[in-house]
Amino acid sequence: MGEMFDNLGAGFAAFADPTYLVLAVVGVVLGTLVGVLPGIGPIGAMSVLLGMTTQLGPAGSLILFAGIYFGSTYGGSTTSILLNVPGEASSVVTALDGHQLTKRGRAGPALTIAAVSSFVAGTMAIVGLMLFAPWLSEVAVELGPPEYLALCVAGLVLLAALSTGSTAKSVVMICAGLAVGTVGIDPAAGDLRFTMGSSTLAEGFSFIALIMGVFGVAEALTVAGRRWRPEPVRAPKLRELLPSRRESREAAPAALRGSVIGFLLGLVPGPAAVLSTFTSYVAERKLAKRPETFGKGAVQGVAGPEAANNAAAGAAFVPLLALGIPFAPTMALVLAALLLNGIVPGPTFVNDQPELFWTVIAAMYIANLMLLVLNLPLVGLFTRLLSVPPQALMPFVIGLCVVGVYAESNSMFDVVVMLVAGLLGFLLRRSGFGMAPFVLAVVLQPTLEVSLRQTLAYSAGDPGYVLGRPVTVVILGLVLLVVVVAAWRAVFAQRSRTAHLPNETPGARLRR
Amino acid sequence: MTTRPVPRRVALCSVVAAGALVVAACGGPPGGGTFPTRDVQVIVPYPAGSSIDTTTRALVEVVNDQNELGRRVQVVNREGGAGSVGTTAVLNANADGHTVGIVPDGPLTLIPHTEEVSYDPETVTVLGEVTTSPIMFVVPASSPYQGIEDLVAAAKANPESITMGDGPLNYAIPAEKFEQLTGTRFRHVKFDGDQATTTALLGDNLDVGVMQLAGAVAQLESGKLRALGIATAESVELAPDIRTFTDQGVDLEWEAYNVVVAPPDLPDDVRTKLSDVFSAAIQSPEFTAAATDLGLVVSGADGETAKKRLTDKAAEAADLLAP
Repeated sequence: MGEMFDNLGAGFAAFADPTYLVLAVVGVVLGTLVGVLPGIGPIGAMSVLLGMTTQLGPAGSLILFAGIYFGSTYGGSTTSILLNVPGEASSVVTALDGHQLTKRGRAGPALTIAAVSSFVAGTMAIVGLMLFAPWLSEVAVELGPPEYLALCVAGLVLLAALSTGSTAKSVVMICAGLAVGTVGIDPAAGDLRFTMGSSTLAEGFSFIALIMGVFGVAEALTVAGRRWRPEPVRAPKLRELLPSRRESREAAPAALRGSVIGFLLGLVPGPAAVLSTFTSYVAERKLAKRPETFGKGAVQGVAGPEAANNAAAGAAFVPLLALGIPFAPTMALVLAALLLNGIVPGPTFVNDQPELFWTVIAAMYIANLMLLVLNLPLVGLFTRLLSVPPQALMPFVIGLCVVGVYAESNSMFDVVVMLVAGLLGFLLRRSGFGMAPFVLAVVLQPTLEVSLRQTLAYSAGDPGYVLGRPVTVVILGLVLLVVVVAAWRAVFAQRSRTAHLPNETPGARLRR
Repeated sequence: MTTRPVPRRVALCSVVAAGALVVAACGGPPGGGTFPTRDVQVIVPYPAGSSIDTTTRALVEVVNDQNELGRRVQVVNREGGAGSVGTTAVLNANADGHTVGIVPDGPLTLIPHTEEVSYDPETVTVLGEVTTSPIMFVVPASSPYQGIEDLVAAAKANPESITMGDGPLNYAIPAEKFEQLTGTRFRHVKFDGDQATTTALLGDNLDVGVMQLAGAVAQLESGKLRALGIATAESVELAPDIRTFTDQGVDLEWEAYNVVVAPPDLPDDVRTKLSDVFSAAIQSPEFTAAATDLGLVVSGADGETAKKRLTDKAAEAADLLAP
């Protein structure tokens, strides 16, 4: 324990370097901005900045990305509450009661409750990450190829089964991602695959170019094509921010429960941040003394989900840092930033790179604190941004993408790949195909393929080998269970045709 | 910020500005004059953070400190294709000395036997040898095998059941040669480099790993892994306790080399200048210290010796890789 505090102290000491502090500020401000602006989200912002990560170094990029990630969950709730326009998918649930509070003139307290709940949950998640990641790393060394195979399968299948939108389309995008990932050198034997004699393709498609294309460029095109009208916003004044004693009393336990729900769900593959908000909302409604207030401005309905999505955001770092497997698209981008810096997270990461790990933990504490301090007073400023026509910003986004991807590898081919991926991504999104499954598949493909081939080599053709690995059997069993339950519920929902969960709130289909 | 229609001009300007930046980055300065007329690029065919990258960066730092060229030397990572992508980039560059590479021997000696490559390993200009890294067989500390003899006996008792982690040709070939020499068969599982092999060994998911000394040195020192044998003629100074294969009755010698290469037909004066600059840096005490920390043996062999070794290794590999 003492050692842990020494390590954490060393992590904070790294922030004596003003560059890191500046990066943390830039990260949280940028994250809040993209969280506030509907249309462009944390994934878009990270993918645009991916080209800069080699210049920033591993610690710098992690600090920046963590800031963006946490900032966007804060910013997303602001527009949910004030305008009933969720900036992010994970803030959809917040809009239900948050906007009702605004209508009743309690916008200030709702914003404060959302921010404080996020802060509490964020802090709890970091403590969890601090305790959990090193422990999981020790355990994870024992995991062999079959377990990694099972985890990759779980990540992809659960994303497809649990995301909103068409499961079939998600599956198509996952297959496309896996197929694109096979181009280039074979990771095991060194054969060239699908390169059509081109030495440029021998390196495979650069995943930075692909990610920046389907998220950065495609997102910019989508936003530019959307009709825009300014929203009349009235931001609450500073003195209106304090919640009443009763509101605080009701919100506090909800935030704590939400933190726990969010953290636990965040450790599991799948779209954890979004799921955790729904889970927390349902749980709060069940536990409430006056469930009839839900949907009419219950503070628990803001505190719980807001805490949950922040805790899930923090927890998502655990599998990434301890196993090297990203379970969410945002984490896939964090992984990309690390890989670009030559750092491969995995079971040996926390031991091999303790300075980096603890600097990141310290960065998360600092980001959370900054968000609390920055957000409440600056709510007015951030909401005023909504009156900037997004079309004006998008050329800059595309320009940044072009410069970023070129700077990364000095290759015009990558720029072309990015633009083509961007155009295809734009067209596919219009037809309802999500890009998150595609990107996660591209990033997971090498791990999936290598662990599959290693598993096959170990088993020498004997299926009993996999059955003899209990961890693998448990993971695959759970995946099967989730798929069956999801399928059963889909059939059930189609029969009864009753939407008992608020799936179709105004903003539910906004992003994705 | 007021509400007004989309400002097209702003949009256009930003795109033009971004385009201009790209064009500026593409345009190279004109040639001419005596070498070097601009900064020299050193291409490394593996990603930043890999052992050859760290080695190269340590070497380049010395080259820049000694400043014999009068221009900076910059490291560029071009990974992929088990090193063949970066090697292709070096050998197909202009033969003016402004592009050189520090590459492992695999793309020159081994890959041309199994893959089609767009360069001729015979005509490569070899400027010198940087480091050598012997191949070893490594087991977890808890392994029942204490030496090569134990391993051979166990493998003979249960053919194709002991798992052996290899992967790149520089590991797969000595593994195969070992099997030929001892009349054993192992169950081969391919791992993507020393880090993955180490993790598998530590997690007891692998019986024997084929690795370089540089990749295993940290875990050997901590006592979590144990080396059964090292494929050198004599025990190496860095790890004197590890017995050689020859010592244990198996005539196996195999080393990976990192060499400085340049495109074919480099002008003589440029070649001499680059050779001198890199040799001086390789033999500097600063570089020796950095390489030793990494578990690499500094070689310092000159271009001709290095090229001969590569040709010999390629010939030996050709025999082993022949179907």
